[in-house]
Amino acid sequence: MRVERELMRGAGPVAVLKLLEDGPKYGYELVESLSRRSEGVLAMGQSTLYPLLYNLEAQGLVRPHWQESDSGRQRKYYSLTSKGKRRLADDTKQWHAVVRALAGMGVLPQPAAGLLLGGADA
Amino acid sequence: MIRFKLLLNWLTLRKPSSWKDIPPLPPPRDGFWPRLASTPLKELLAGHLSASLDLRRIIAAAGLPEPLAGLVYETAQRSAVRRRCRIATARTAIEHFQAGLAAGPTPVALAESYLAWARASGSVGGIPPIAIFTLPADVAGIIARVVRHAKLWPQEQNDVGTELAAHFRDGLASGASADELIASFGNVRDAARLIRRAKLRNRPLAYRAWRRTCQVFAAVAAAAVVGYCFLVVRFFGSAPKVTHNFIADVNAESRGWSPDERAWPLYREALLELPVDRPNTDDLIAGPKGDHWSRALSYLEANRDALDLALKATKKPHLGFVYGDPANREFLNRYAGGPDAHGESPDRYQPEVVGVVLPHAQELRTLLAMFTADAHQAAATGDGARVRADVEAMLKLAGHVREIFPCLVVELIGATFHGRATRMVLEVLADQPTAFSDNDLKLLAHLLAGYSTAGWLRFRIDGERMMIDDMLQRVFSDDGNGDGHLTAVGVDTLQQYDLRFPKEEILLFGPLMSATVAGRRETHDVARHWLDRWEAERRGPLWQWQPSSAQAEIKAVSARLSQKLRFFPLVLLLPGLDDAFLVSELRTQEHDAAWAAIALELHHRRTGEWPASLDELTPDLLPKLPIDRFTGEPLRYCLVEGRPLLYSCGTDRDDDRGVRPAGRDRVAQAWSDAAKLDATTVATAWAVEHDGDWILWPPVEEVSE
Repeated sequence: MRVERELMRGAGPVAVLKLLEDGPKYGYELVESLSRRSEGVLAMGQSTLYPLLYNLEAQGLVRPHWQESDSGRQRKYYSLTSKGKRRLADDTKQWHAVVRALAGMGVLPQPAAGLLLGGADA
Repeated sequence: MIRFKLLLNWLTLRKPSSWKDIPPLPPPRDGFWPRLASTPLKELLAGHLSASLDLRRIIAAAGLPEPLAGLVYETAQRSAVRRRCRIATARTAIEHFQAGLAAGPTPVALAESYLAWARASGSVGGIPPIAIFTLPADVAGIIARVVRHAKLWPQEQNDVGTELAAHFRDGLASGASADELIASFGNVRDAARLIRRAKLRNRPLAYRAWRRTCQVFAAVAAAAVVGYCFLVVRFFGSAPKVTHNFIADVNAESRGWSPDERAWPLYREALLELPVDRPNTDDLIAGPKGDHWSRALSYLEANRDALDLALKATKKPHLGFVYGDPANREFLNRYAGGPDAHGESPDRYQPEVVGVVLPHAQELRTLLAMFTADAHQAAATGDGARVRADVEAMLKLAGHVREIFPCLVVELIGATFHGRATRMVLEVLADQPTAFSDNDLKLLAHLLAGYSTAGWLRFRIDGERMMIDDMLQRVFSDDGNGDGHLTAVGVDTLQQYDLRFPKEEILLFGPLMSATVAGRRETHDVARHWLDRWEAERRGPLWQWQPSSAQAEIKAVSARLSQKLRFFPLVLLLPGLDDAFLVSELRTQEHDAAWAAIALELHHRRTGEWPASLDELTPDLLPKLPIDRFTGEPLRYCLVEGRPLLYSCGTDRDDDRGVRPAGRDRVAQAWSDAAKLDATTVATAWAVEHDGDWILWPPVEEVSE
């Protein structure tokens, strides 16, 4: 399923920030993880991912660094900054609020209470 | 500086199309300073000038044959600005070519292979980043196109290209095919656009501020150009439309008079009878006291018939001059250098009101001078009746002149004529009073009384209103609702109003002027507002004048450049009304003084004495006391050495007992002749520096400079 561009514009950055929460990742790794963990819903090509990463870098939310991989190739890894962590926390709260609102309106099924509470209020 | 160096690299390094174009690796720099600059600090501190960071030395140490060594050097030089990155690129390339050589191909074959791949992938600069060299050509081509379309700085291009290459390489390593990776990449141009946008956000704040400033400047410049183009089209693409013939309005009244009522045909005949060679009118007016009286007298005697014709004309109730009348052709040929182009018919005659030629007004001055000379001669011979007839003719002539056009120029000419007549009365009463019989004096008094009705000498400015309206229809466009804007034709028309606007500059500044100058309706309304207010403020007598708010407003507009530009057609056209209105008051003062002087002479004849005060003259000889126009009080009168003296307190409004201003009589001369007195000064400060009175009778002899 392809997500509308406007929705992707809102969800993409927070998804990438969430992936980087686990540790530094390079571009291809992010593409693969997004596709896998979102079951293809948030899959994005390079033409979308790299501008997104550069924007996050411009906002100071991620920090890139070149690093030699195990295979000996140079890769550009992106890691979350402290500002990026704060933004991820804020965005997560907002997304939970949106999900609750949509659920309240019947657009989405009612999520499990623990899930929402655990995510939004944590 | 770093960016500049990289750019310089890109510009100066050749872009090889064949391995033969690749220059060989230059020898390492062995001088002290180059070695020092290429030695890491750690080794330097250890006392070892190793030059291990010298790119040439590193490539040379790898032992690659030419042209590969030169190719590696060229590639590394283009790859980045930072020495560390260049060295990394060089090492990658060295490894790549060493592996290639180990597989068998010759150095030339390897170099040609690399360049062929670069051409196939359309890589940036002919030599792509070594990072994408190992990718399939179509994949590398996508990266190269993205990098090229993103139009980034060289360092950014290298960075993006290397990262995208790493991405594809990871994809290939994970088992995906090149086609799958290309399909999932997305649109190249969109990617380039988004990457460029994101990379721009990553640039330094100073750069972004500068770029934003340039964008704003460009936007403003573009808007200005578009706006200017609009103004050009508006300025040159529209033209004024003359819809109303104001001269026809003036003609309509004159054409309404019957031939018996029109004086102009007789004046015209009289003027055409006069020889072209004639004395100066000032010599005729000066009379026996003038230097050329005998010549003036000869001229007068030789042209009695013309003067009699003119006298007959003064008996007519109206002037009746018709603009564009073919009957005036001979007159205009003689006195105005020929009729106007449209002067063949009153119906087709439609000149600009402000440019209407008034040759008849000028030539009627000749007749006035002849009447004056005749009055001088009559007074000298004791012929008071003829003096009276001449004075009456002069007054009638003044009235006819004022019918020419209801504008200030003509009013001033008429007032001059009128003042000449009253001055003649004052002069004869002072110098040859016996020339007048009692009956002559009574008739003169009645004659002057006929002109003493309130406001007879009040100037009209309807002509100025016509001039403004006519100017508007010739200078501004017409939107059909009374509004419009300044046009190119209009600016050309304004040249005759002393605009002095170079024609070459109209193209450049004209459209801007049209945007600056007030529109037709606003200009009309402001002009009407000023003229109406000015007229209302000067409707009363001189002693009631306050500083004119209309004039103050016009002066304020003239003083501010923006306002002056906004209303420049009005600033060009509107005359100094206050000075003109002041002339009206001064002539009125002289007129009243002449009337009072007649009454004094009659009283003297009846009683053998001069009255102690003017009160003795009323009501028998004067219906009311003449008013001092400066004070609003009765005109001043006293006896000096047994002789009467009539005077006004003058601009200082202070009774100096008939003492004239100190020094020469220039003030009196100015009042009576050219009205050079500044009206604003009169209305505000009352010119205290002119301490003294204005002597009205007996007249003060004019003093020339």
